[in-house]
Amino acid sequence: MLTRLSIRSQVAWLSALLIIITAITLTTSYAFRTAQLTEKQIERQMRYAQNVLTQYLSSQEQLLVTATRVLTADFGFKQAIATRDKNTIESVLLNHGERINADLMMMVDLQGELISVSAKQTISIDQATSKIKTLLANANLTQFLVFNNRIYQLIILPVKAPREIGYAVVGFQLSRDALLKLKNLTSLDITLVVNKQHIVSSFGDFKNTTQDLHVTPITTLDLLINKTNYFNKQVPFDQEAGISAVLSTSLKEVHEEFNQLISSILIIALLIILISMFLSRLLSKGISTPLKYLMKLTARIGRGELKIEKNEQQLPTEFNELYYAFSTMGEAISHREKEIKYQAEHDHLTGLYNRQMLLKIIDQQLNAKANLLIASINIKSFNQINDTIGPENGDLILQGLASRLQDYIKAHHQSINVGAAGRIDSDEFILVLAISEITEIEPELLNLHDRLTQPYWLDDIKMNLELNIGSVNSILHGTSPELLLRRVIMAMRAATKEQKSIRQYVDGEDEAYLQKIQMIEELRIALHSENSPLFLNYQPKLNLSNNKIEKAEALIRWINKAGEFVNPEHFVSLAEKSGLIVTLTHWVIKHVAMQMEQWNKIGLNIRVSVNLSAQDIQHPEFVDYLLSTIETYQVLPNQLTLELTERDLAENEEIVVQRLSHLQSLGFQISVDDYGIGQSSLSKLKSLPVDELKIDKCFILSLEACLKDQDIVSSTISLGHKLNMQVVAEGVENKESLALLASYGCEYAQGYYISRPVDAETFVQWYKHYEPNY
Amino acid sequence: MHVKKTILICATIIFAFSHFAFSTTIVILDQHGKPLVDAVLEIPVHQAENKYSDTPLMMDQIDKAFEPIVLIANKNSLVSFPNSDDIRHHVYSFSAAKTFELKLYASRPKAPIKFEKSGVVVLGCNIHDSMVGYIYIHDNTFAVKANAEGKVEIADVPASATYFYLWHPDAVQGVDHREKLPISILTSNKSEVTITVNTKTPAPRNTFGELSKHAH
Repeated sequence: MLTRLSIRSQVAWLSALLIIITAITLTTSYAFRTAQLTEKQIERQMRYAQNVLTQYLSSQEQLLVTATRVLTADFGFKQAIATRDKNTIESVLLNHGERINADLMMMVDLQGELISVSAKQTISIDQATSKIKTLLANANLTQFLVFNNRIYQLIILPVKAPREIGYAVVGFQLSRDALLKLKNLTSLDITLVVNKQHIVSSFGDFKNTTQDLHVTPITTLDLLINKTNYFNKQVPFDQEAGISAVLSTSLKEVHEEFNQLISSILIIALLIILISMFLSRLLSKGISTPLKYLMKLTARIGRGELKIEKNEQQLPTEFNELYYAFSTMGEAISHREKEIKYQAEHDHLTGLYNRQMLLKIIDQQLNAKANLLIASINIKSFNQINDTIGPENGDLILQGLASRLQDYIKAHHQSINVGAAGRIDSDEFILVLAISEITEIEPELLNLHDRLTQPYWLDDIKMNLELNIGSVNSILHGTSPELLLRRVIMAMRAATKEQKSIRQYVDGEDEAYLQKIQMIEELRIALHSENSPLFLNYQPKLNLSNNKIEKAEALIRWINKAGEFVNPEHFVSLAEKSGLIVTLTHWVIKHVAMQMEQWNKIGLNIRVSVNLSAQDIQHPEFVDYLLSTIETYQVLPNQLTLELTERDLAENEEIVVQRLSHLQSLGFQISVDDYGIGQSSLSKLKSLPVDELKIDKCFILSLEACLKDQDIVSSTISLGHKLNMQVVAEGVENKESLALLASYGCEYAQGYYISRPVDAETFVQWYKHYEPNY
Repeated sequence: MHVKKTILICATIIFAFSHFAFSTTIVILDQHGKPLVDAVLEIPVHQAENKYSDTPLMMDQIDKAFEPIVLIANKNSLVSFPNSDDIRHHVYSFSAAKTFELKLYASRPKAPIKFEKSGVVVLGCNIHDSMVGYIYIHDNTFAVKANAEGKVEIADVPASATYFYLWHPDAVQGVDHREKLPISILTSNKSEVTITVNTKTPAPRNTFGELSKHAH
């Protein structure tokens, strides 16, 4: 909760809290200490008072004893008593009593019978006699007598002549005056109590103070909290007479001192709190001002103002360090920003611009109404060069070419300052140059080619590069950077393909390219649509040994949106290039399986072959898809033949062989399509799991006329047979060829002479009415 | 010296008036078993003749004390009060048996005083409060004072006697009290009879200071 407050309030609260705690602690401890001291002081005072009281009473006793001795030693008095001369006795008592200012003088005989009495107050003789008798039995010299609500200190001395003949009793009343005298000595109030009844007190109006005379021992806590007015202590005075003295000390002063202490501490604490609030304000200002200053600084950094000037303000050390940290952070950020920007705009290997930056520059220059020549440079067979000399050296070649491009710009376009060079692929570079006329283009490109094909030196090794340079210009080939870039790359690709060192973009190339892309897109949609514009045609294969139709090849056909028949070779090759071939083959397998399910139902027993590409067989899901699809449509593996070209078989041979072997073991027939025109390798043929060889139609089409073809076909057929394969000949277009094939022992024939590829329905009709006429 | 002399005299007297043929030793002790030196044993039997002497008896003052402390005297005996100290004494008595006052100066003897009534005369000195002496006056009877061991030797008890008195100045009943005891105690054929007399010595009273000290 505290952290939500501002620094200023936090400091203020903290200091106020500390001060309050300190004040309370100090007050409490001081109060306790003082209370303890006061308690001790009171105890001391009490002891002192008790001593004074005793001293007073014993000196009083001494006085009385002396006075009484004088009386009892008087011979005349003795004589008077011995002779019971009552008048004389009385006069002597009176005389002595006045002399020592006694309040009570009595003469009693040995049995305690009163002989004579002289008192300031009237005394009942009977009462006095009964009390005196008990007093005589007591061994104390001084005795206290409570009599008519008065307390007397009495001295009883025997009268000896020379043996005891009686007792003289002399008494002083313990009056308020006496207590006041004691109060002067002890500064304590004294109250004499008999059987809990107050007899005499130094208090002015002692009856009112009765309730204050609690004689329980007072504690420190009482002094602090209960605030009783008096501290009282009961001192036994004369136990037999039941007299005790209560010593009382006023606590008013102590309480006043406490109150004064607490109020002065409170005032001091308040003052300190005020001062600390003022100081915390100063302190927090000392923190918040530089904080605000630094906050502005960070806001500036946030806005991207990374150049931070030296601190001019006077700041505390920590903030100075923070300021310094911020400024170095700004520098670091700006440095990194530059680095990132550089990396974002440049190719890290050569330091040339990347594609995005090139587009930006082209755009800028086109906007500046510059005419541009854009050349795209490709190093021919760079991969092979890389493989030969190693990638590190390959990089050196690339860097060398890049630096030549930059030098070229510097040498020819310093004044115009619009040249730019970039790298867009591993071995593809772009050069942008400003031109004024189309006529400049050709010499410029030749010059460039000449410059760039100068030998490169890797230490002592001389390297000659062959380059394919494509070019576009903004005068003829468009004014959009993306378009120009695409077209120049197209031109370069064409140069590579056509093995030209320099090739200009030709109008319409881009459109053809776009058409291909559109076609691929349309094919993709066709593959996924319900009412597909794709369909399958079937071309029968004739078994030459029994003249029966046992097999057929499924061939895909497509009528596009414009209603045109699309060349299957064309779109299949596009599908292969765009990766769409896998989807296409799936489509074919599915529809072939559906068709065969139908045919199975009507008892049409035809083994159908499906064309696969290398991508299909390498696809991880192909085998699963094939198996699950034929299972769905209850087609058996031995009803299907999988046709692959030699090229397809050669690619990723290990996995292809493995999968094909697996499929073969399940019952599928594997056929090598277009045999004889690819990179035929007899060693491969030996190791491949192949059931069927399909001789390419180029050997068959004019078989009857060409002797060489006849030799090739007959030897291929016998080779197939030697390798335990069946042989299919496709492209059979006349009776003569068919007869030749039959004579060679070829198992199957396929071609227009037997039937064109037809749709499934036509195929069924054709099959039903088929009659071999050869 | 004086004590021995007195005992000797007493022994002679006892011998002279003896009626019984055996002798008994009476031991007089206080309640604490201490011998009571100055106890007087009196058998109230009238002697045939008044045996007071013509020469006055002596109650001297030596070292601020009466000597002897207890003097037994027959009625009508004369007692002289010589002052052997070199200081003044003011001998007095307020006793009923004899009231008198005698200012005595060193080596200036006054005429002897005659004690006409039987009883105990308590002697004091007005100058020296601590001086107390006693004259035990009997009416021609048999009276004898205990020796230093509190013992009285009785050889013969008159046959007519039925009781006897025992007196001591410190007896609890007071100075005038004589304990009356049956004679059978003395004639019990025992060679030694012990009699106890309760005495009291007036204790000094507690002062206030002592009390408060005690209280603490």
